[in-house]
Order: sequence, then C-alpha cells, then structure tokens
Amino acid sequence: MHLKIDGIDFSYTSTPVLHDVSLELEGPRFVSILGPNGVGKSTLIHCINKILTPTKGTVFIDGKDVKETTIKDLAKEVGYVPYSANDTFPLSVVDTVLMGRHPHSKWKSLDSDLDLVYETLKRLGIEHLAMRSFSELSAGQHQKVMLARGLVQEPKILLLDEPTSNLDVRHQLDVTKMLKSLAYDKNMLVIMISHDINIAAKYADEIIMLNDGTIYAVGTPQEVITEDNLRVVYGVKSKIIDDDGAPHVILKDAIPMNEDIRRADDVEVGKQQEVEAGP
Amino acid sequence: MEEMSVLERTYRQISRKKTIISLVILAVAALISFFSIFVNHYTGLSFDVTWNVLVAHLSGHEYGVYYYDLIVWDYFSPRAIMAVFVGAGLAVGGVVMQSMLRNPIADPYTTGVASGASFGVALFFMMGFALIPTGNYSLDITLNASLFALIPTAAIVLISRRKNMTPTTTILAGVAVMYVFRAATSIMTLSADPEAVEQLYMWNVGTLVDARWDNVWIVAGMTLGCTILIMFLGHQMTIMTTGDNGAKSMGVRTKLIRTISLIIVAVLTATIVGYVGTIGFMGLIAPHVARILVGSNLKYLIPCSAATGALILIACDCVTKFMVSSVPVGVITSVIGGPMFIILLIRGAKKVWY
Repeated sequence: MHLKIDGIDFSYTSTPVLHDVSLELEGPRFVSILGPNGVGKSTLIHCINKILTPTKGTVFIDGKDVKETTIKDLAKEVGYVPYSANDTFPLSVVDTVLMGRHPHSKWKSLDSDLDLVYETLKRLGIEHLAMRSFSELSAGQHQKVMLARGLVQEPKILLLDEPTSNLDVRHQLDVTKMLKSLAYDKNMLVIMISHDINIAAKYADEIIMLNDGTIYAVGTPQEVITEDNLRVVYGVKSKIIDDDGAPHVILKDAIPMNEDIRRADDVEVGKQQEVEAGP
Repeated sequence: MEEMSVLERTYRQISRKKTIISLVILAVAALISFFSIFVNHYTGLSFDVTWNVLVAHLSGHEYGVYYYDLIVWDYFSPRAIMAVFVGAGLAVGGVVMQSMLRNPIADPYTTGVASGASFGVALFFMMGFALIPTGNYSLDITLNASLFALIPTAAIVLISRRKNMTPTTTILAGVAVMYVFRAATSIMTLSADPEAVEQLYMWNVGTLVDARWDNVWIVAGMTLGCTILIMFLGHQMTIMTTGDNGAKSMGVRTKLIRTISLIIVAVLTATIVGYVGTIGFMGLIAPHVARILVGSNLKYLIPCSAATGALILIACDCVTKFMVSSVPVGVITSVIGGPMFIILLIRGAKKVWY
C-alpha cells in the first residue's frame, strides 16, 4: 500500500493547524510521528482517515483520492486506534473488539469473526478479559482493547494515536515491538503518534517530526533525532548517545522559549488595555 | 482451536440468555396486560362478567349489558394494549436518545418534544386554535400535540447537523428550546380561563384513559414500525456509543445515523404524546433497567427496553385502576418508578454505567 499526502492544510474555524504538509509513505513499514503537544499530530492522522477534511490538498491511498472513497470502503483500508474511547455505556470486551469487523461485516460471519477476536486478544495477552465489561478495566487494558479493535479491522494502513501512553514500560516495549512485527507479518503500513522519543527511536523505521503544523524532519531515527532538532522542536537541551545503532535521548533541561516570553508580553499589553478601557 | 470454541460458546450462551430475558419480560407484560382488563373498582363488574364480555366479543357477539360491554371492550381492552405499546415506544425512544446523545439522562422528551406538544395543546385549549381543524375535538388535540411536538425536534436536528455541534450541545439546545416553548405556554396561561388551564394541566400529566380501538392501532403500528427501523440501525448506533471518531473510522456515517434515528424517535414520541400526553420517566427508567439486565449492546438493549417499558407502564396502569379516584398513570410511573430507580442506582453496578 502506498500513502501520499499532497500539500494539505487544515484549520479549525480560525486557527490554522496544518500547513502545506506533504508526505509519501509505502509499507510494510513502522512509522512514528513525533512532535510536542498541539502541533497537529492527531489532526494529520484524522485527515488521512476522513475524520477531518483538509481545507486544502489531497490524500491519496494507493493512488486513489480519499475524498472519492466512501467511509465504509476506507474503513477496510485504514484502521484507527483512538487515544481514548467514550464509555458512558460500556460494552463487553468481545463486543467492543467485534466492532472492528463492521466494515467487513456480512451475514453469518460471527463465528470466524469471534475466532479472529480471540486470536487478537491472545496476541495482546488479554484473552482472559474477553467477557468483562469495558468499564471494569484499567487504563492500560482499555488501550489494549482499542488496539485489538484496530487490529481485527485488518486494515492495510493502521493509524494509532498514542497507543501506549497508559501502559507501563514493559507493555510499552511489548506493544511497540508487536506493532513493528505486525507491519511486516501482515504487510501493513503502521503509523503511530508517540510521545516517547526513545521507544520511537528504538523501533520505528521512519520518523516524522512535526513542528508548528508543518513537517520539520523526516527520515530514519538517526537522521531525525538529533540534539539540534530536539532543541528547535521540543525546546529541550539533550544529549544523544548511540544505543546499538539507535539514537537514545538523555534529556538535560527545558529551554525557556521565545514564544513564552512573547505570550507573557501579550498578556501584559492586554491587561493595560483593559485598565485603559475601564472607567 | 479448543479454546476458541470456548469463547464462541460462551458468547453465544450469553447472547441466548439476553434474548430469553427479553422474551420473558415481554411475556410477563402481555400477561399483565391481559390481567389488567379485569382490574377495576366498579361494583358488579366482576371477573366473570369481564370474562364473558371478552368471550362474547372474541366469538363475534356483544355482551348483553351495554354499560359493562362499553367499559370492558371499548375502554379497558384498548387501554391494556395502548399501555404496552406506549411503554415500549417511550422506552425505545429513551434508548435511542441516550445512545445517540451519549448521555444517561437523555429521554424521548430531551429534544423538547413534550414542551412543543404542550404548547400545541395549550393553543387549542386557550385560543381554540387547531393546526388542522377536523371538527373532532380529541383528534384536533392529538394533531396539535403531535405536530407542535415536531417543531422543537426539527430545530434540534437542524442545529445538530451544524459542524461544531456535539451531543452535549445538542442536549443543551434541546433544553433551551424547551424553555422557550414553556415560556410561550406560560404567557398564554396568564390570560386564559381557569378551566382551560386545568384541562392543560390534566393533559400534561399523561393518561391512558382515552385509549380506544380507533386510536390504539395507530400507536401500536407506529411503535412496531419505528422499533423495527431502529433495530436496523442498532449495530451502527452501538458503534457510535464509543465515540464519533472511532465510529467513522469503522465506516459508520455518524451524522446520517444520528439524524435518521433522532427523526424516527421524534415522530414516534410525537405520536404517543398526541394520544396519551406526556408520561414522564418511562423513557428514562426502562432503558436503564434493561441495561442492568442485558448490557448496552443495542442489539439486545432495544428489544429488552421495549419489553421493560411495556411491563412497567402496564403494571403502573393496573395500580391506577385499583384506585377509586382517578390518578393519571403519569403520576404513578414517577411515584413508584422514582424510588425504585434510586434503589437500583444505589445497588447498581459499575458494569452498567461509568
């Protein structure tokens, strides 16, 4: 499969989020998207699977414009594991994971679907939770269930929004490693938003680093994770050491950013105006 | 392979159990419904007489005593059927509103249906205004109630289709519309004659005493039809309860499904309100009781809620019939339902609500 993002812009009513993002990816591959909070990582992913429509530009999957694909057809190609799921009315784990089969649903496919669900739960080590209610689970188990739902969808491209943020270190490593092997076993393009630079650096084939709504750097972990890039994008001083060929970040200190200083000024000006406008 | 079939077996067992629960509740509701025809506080209208009236009618005759015949066949029999379908219809409305707005306190009246209907009826009682004048007093009331009930819903549906609307803002818009209609009704009440105000008050509480053979089939048909339509959307609606983004990524056209289901429920509720007034609390409590029994998968929750709603309302109506002074069933559902619901909540499972 082949994913091409061609010059997309996206803005929420008045706030521009993404600007002129272009990207080309081909699977099987495990790609990680890095970048600080609010930089547009989730927005980018949502533009790929039509949760959001870019204000400008086009997304192509295997050469086909996603605008011309119905969301049901797109759901067969692109899976999505959200950051969190609403559980006002929780279902059982099996029912939750079974939803992932919806784009492929046919009459009388329940037996094979249940087999697949069980296989996937087992792969994630949570088969014992199958009949439990979603609301009785821990945050980490929630994430694994959502992950299972994305996997049973059997997409060609799997998008994940911080799938390991609530997991302990062992499970973080385990899940990330599994995602990577999945990419190659099932011939998928796996794209994961991540906040853990070191885990991304250890497993990702390719890293996309976003800054201010644009792509700041793309490439292998060695190319992208550098002290300079981390300073500019994350605003941190760091030291990078080599760990068996993968870069490993040791964080040193946060740099007071120019932006923050400017914002502080704005607040001052705003206050003054308020005072002047007063009686 | 061995273990896989274990999951399959357990899953199917649980599914079967859920289906059986719904069927049992439905059977009990049907039984009580039949029993309710025999319940009354009239002297002389004994069990035997009621039975004879029913037998006479079911074998194509009429019973000799006109007064008994009228009460049993023309009043109580349609009323028993009406209670079952009204209960079921309001409960289905409740399930859909709760699931689509992802809010446990949503009910069929959340979109302002009740306030719109009440406004329409107030127009009739106080100004003599009939939207479609038919010359038939009760039909005019019904049409006013049903049609005005749809106005707030139409507003909500239009508002909710806007880009930046979420389920929460939809509920808030519904509450706002409700206040506007209530205020409009209040303004009319200020200058209306006391008799009209009393009529409106009685109408607002909700009662089944106006059920007749010529209106019960409309409510029954609407409830059956709308419930079947909603069942077709059940699977997609279940997916939507986990969040719109996730649902979209699984190929569900969330906006379309939400709009269609809101419209179906609004039409159903408006019809019911038109004939029996606003029976409160049913649409809220029946789905929650059903959730405790079968969980939140709409495939089982919709039929189970319908059965539970039918059961609760017919049971409450039996209670009102035992009473000598006529208490509207709307009062009983709240008086009995409220405390019962609180007990359920206190004992309640975290499994059911988060």
